[in-house]
Amino acid sequence: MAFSAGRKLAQEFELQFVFKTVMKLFAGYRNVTIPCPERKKRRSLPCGLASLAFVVLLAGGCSTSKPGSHPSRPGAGLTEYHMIVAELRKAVATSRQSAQVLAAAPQEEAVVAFQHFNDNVQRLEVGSIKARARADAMEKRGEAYFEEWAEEMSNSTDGSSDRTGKERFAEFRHYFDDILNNSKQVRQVFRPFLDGLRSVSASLGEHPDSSAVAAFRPSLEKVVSNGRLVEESLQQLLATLDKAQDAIRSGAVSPASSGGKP
Amino acid sequence: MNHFVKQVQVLGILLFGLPVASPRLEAQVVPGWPIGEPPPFVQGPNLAATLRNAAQATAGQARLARQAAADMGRRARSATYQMQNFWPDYQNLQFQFQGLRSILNLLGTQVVQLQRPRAANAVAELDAGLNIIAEAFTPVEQEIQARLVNRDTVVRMCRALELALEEWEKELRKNASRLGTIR
Repeated sequence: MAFSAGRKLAQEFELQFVFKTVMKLFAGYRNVTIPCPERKKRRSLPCGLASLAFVVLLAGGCSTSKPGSHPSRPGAGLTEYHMIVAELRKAVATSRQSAQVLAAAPQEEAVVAFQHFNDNVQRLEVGSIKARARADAMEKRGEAYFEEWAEEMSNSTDGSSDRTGKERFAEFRHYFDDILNNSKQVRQVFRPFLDGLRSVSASLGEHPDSSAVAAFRPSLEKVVSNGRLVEESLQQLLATLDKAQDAIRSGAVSPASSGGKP
Repeated sequence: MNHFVKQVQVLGILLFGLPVASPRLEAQVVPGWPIGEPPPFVQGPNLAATLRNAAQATAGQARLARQAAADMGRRARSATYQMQNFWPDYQNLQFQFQGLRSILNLLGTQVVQLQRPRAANAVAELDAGLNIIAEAFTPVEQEIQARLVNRDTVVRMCRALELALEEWEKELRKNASRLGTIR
């Protein structure tokens, strides 16, 4: 109704272009004004134009919340990182095992074992991107991650006393530093492992014969031992993440009550 | 009197209409993008809309880069694939990949305006992801330096890029909430 009244008025003044522009803009705003029940009431206003202008202003008001500002569930970032690391550990173990199988494969099974090894290397290359990217970004932006995780945790505040909140926040800070250190350690041992896998895979080409595979046995053994180191460091990181998650579950860490910083 | 009221109403349209319309009028200017070049996305009437446009453009460019890798990989598998076929394919692939990095950088500059660590962290992860994906070019670059490009290496690079960019696109979509491109 408000639209048709506005349209009539604009036609009267032969200012259709103005009306169309405003309507077009309003149509854009309409997408972000879902929670505005006031819109229905506008039909009773006598002046279509005034209603239009009012609704546009109102719509602007309804869309002023900052994008990305809605809170995520408490500890979501930490849980997600735990999941990524657990997936990586699984992929590393699979690749290490396939390298082990290839190194020990009898001549007649070497080609099949290599195919399996090659597939696993490719899967690890792709599957590890998420974990590596997260670890890189965390190392680069350390404090900003702490802020993100702390912000998530402040959503789970249980009204604990200021002192308890500060203690728990300091405890979480300690876990966060451990997580960063462990992630750094994983990065350091992961790199030679992946390089070793890639090197063997690329050197053997697409369809190697069994004698070529046998020639790479020493390199494969080195890859296997590097893989074990990666698995150990991932296990340590997972244990730290578990402890941090337990700390959150046992009681809300409340940066809000401690002023946002430890 | 009636005429006066109508004049006031017209003035109302212009007063309310123009401030809202002005961001659209200068929609083609995207900060951080060279002047004169067509921008990769349109600046919206507000930050949320601009972020959505930027994220859509980034996803579109990621698809283009992935498609370029897939097409090149398919051609490189053919026995008739020669160096003269390799160069335009490789240049196109690099062009698309660099385009993706540029658009992500622009998305990053928009995200900074949110002043929220979770959004900036999401962009940092996506950026780190592209740095890692770029490693797939290294073996081929080394072979180019040695003037001995191997077809298997090219095929491998294309496959790795295709799969990795597919994962990266998924991450971009998953990060929509952190980036503030969905509410």
